[in-house]
Amino acid sequence: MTGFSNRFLIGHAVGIAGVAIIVAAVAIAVFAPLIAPVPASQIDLHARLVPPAFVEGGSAKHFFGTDNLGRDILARLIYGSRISLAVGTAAALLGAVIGSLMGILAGYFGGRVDAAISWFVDVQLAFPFTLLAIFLLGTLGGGFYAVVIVLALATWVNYARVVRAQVLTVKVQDYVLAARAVGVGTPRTLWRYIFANSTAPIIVVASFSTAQAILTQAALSFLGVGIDPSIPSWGAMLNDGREYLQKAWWIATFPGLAIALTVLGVNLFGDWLRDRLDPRSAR
Amino acid sequence: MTSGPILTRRQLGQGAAALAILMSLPSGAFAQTGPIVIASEDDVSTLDPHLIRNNHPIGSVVWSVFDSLVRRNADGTHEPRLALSWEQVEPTRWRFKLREGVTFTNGEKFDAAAVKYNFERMNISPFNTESQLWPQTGLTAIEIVDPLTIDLVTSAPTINMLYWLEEAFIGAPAHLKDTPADVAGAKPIGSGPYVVTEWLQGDRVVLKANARHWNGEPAIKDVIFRDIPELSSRINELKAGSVDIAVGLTPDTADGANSDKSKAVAVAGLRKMHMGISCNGIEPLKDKRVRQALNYAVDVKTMVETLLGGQTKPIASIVNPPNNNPDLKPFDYDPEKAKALLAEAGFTDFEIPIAYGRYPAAKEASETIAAYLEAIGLKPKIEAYEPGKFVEMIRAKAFTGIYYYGWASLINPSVELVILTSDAVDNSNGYNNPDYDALVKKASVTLDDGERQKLLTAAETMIWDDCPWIYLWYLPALYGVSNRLDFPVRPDDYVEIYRAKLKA
Repeated sequence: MTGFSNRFLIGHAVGIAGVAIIVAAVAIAVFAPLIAPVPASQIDLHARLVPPAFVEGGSAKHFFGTDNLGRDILARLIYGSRISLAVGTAAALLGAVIGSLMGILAGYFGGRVDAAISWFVDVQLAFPFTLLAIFLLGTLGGGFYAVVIVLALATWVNYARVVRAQVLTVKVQDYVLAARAVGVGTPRTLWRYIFANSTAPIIVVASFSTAQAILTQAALSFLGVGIDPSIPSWGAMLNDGREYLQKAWWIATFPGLAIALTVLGVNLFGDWLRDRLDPRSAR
Repeated sequence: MTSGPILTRRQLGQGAAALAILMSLPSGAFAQTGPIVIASEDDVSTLDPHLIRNNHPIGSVVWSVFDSLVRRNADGTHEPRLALSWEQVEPTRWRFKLREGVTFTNGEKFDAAAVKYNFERMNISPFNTESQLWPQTGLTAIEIVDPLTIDLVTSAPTINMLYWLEEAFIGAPAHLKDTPADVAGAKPIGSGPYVVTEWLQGDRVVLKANARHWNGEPAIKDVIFRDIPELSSRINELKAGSVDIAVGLTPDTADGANSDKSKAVAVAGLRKMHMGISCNGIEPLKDKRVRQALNYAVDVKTMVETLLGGQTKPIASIVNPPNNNPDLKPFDYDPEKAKALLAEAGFTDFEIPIAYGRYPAAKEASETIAAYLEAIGLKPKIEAYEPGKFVEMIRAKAFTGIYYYGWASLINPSVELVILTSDAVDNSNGYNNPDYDALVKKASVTLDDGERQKLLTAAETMIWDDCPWIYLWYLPALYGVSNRLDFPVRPDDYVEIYRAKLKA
């Protein structure tokens, strides 16, 4: 009995922690201009490579120190959260739209439609994604929208697979058969009965896909593709700090922590959500 | 600032290399007798003696494998190599006596016919896009007087014959003639101090001493030019002993090269770093006042003191010392004056693309300059380019805003000024000023030293005021060099490995 309630509490605590991290990150991104001590791209050549405030030689003016051009790391972290969250959510949402549609079509119609869509999914899964992303961004050119589209391409397969599986079980339910028997049209059936009963797994996949998109975006920025390198982003900050790892560890360390923490928050939330929404997981 | 073309192959390489460092730190030193390894950011993209695209690494390898009639010493003087002596028998006719008994490494004999074949090859496509002997000297004919004497005839008297001969390398003629160009570019046969034994493109060029070189076998027997794009990898390998010369250090990282196995070596560089201002791109930049405003807007002195660690100084002329006009001074940092000039020209808040893609710390320089330009009300838009693409854009004069670039380190005012004449191959910003063209052209055919100097100074002064560039600084030439090596560093980026020795 105690074991049961402890597990229940722990489960909630984890979910709450995840939500707290996400809320904090979103608040920081939204209110960046109010929170940031200085503008993120403000260069001060006389204050280059200043260590964080809590390290010897640090200054209270720059809590997390400054980078190789004297830009405030804290300010860049705060502004960098905008890119990470915006790209992460936009890519996950776009992926959700494409992936859910594909999954519903494949699951509901089966046959050749299913074979074709599943084939696409398999091909996509077999392809090293980072390589594909670099290739696409190299040919399309970079920019926010290009990155979102490319990352959506990465995540849609997650949705498609899960939704297809869900649809396969939903479409043989009595209420679906009943709806069709009384003459409900296909589009309406798909929307009202099939999609409506597949939303739980979509939401769960969306949370994990957001985390995946944030990470991949950071990796792409680190490699110098995608978002304009002059816009502060966590991945680009990692790249900037790379050559200074031995001399100024703080340039790369804090954005690394920021990425880890945000992704952790989203994943914790996703885990918790799955436990809540999936009737098959033990309760 | 909005987005631009972002993919840079070098950055990809850097990312990958950074991961590699994190995963495997120094794997142990090589034996002290191993080959000398020279590590650079760029790869050697061709070994064709007539397609030298950069001083280093392509130039450095070509200098090792081929000989020229004359070689440029580090101080700008001329060293006889395949030519023993020369004279201007007429104002438009140069006569060269050639060295006897020289053979190429495939056994072919070096003689006047070999010189003629090579020089004529430089005048045909695609070699004439890189080799500038013909257009720059006004060469019109090559006449063989006897097997060891050759005459070069020019359309007008020229003062720059030796300079351009120093960039004109002689390969084995039958080999060049009988092999397809791409094969000849991959399997070079010269008469230089080294022979190429292996070339893995994008990775390494392996050289072995030429035991039959006319000047004796070089002291260093085995040399490897390696491509290590990631700066911190180059330094780590230097400290581990698996690299002997790390090329292209930045002032911030130079300290890192000092270890028990190696040290950082600095030489006052002569490469003039600048932001080329496109004169055939966006409209505002065609106005001289706008170009001057850009110069007043950037605090070059502070950048030199901080970003470059005070290891260099601002350029004060397009002509390198000691030939420069001492009356010219760098532009002051004066943002108010910059704004006033912009207002006067009627262009106050335009978007200005800033491109970078080569040279150490290019990103830092570009971002800092962007901040200075933002401060006077402009809208900078930074664009990162993959190095190969960047060079392509330069050649095509395709940049429309400003771009971070460095002008080769020369000590020859006439040649230095020629690059900004309107029909010069290297005029990468489309600068076109007929008065300037006339002065430079006249100087290049004026044989009287005093008279020529006057014309050159006039041209130098005219162009300084006209601001085809945002004038920045001399690129500090910083190398990490192994303690086992005695290596004379040059200010113009060439690595002359045949002059190096192992320390006893």
